[in-house]
Amino acid sequence: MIKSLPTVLFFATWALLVGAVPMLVGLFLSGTFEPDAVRAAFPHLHISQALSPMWFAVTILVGLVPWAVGLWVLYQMQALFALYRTDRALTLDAAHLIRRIGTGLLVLAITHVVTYTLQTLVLTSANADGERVLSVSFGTPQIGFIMAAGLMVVIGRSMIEAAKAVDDMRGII
Amino acid sequence: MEIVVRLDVMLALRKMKARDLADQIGISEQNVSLLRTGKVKGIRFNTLACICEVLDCQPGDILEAVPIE
Repeated sequence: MIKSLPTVLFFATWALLVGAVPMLVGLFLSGTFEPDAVRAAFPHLHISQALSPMWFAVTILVGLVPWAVGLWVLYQMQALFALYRTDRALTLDAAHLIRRIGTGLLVLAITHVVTYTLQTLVLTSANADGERVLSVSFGTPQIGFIMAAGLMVVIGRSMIEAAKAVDDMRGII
Repeated sequence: MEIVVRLDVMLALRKMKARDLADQIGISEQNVSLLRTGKVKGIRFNTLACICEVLDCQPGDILEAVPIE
């Protein structure tokens, strides 16, 4: 069970990585990125009809940044699970990957907050003076995410020290 | 100064094979080989004690500090 878990996770992460592209294409084809769909995704915002399609595209592109970060984190995860599959859990490579995943999750949490702020700013940029919005959304889920990501970074750092110690021990008979 | 392992000399003096030493002290032949060639970062006190016991010698007979050339 313990041996097969990294294998299951390895293939699951690859499935997500491979599935992300058709999913994105599917979302594009289903009209999720159309201006009306974007308006529907921000029901609390008053978005001016004068906002050009280019700004909607900018909003979508900004919204794709967390996706890109998420995919990068998934890629690091598959590399970590690949090491675990081959019994190389306590190595410097694995430790660096854990720290990288933690950093990636931290960046992901930050980009979630920043992209939402930028999207509200872009979507209301064509509004009349006094109707433009700069909204920062930061709640318990973000705090929990940042705490978990910070914990992973700390664990990664500890693992690097542990892996160095193991490397040292390997040379002692 | 650097530490040079003189295990080969002691093994020759005791007319013992590396394989027999490995069997008696409970480490792999590969590790004894690494020790003989000095390709190790260090040696544990208990490994050293076992070697000394089997070869009936002192640590100084196995390890020697020599100036770095």
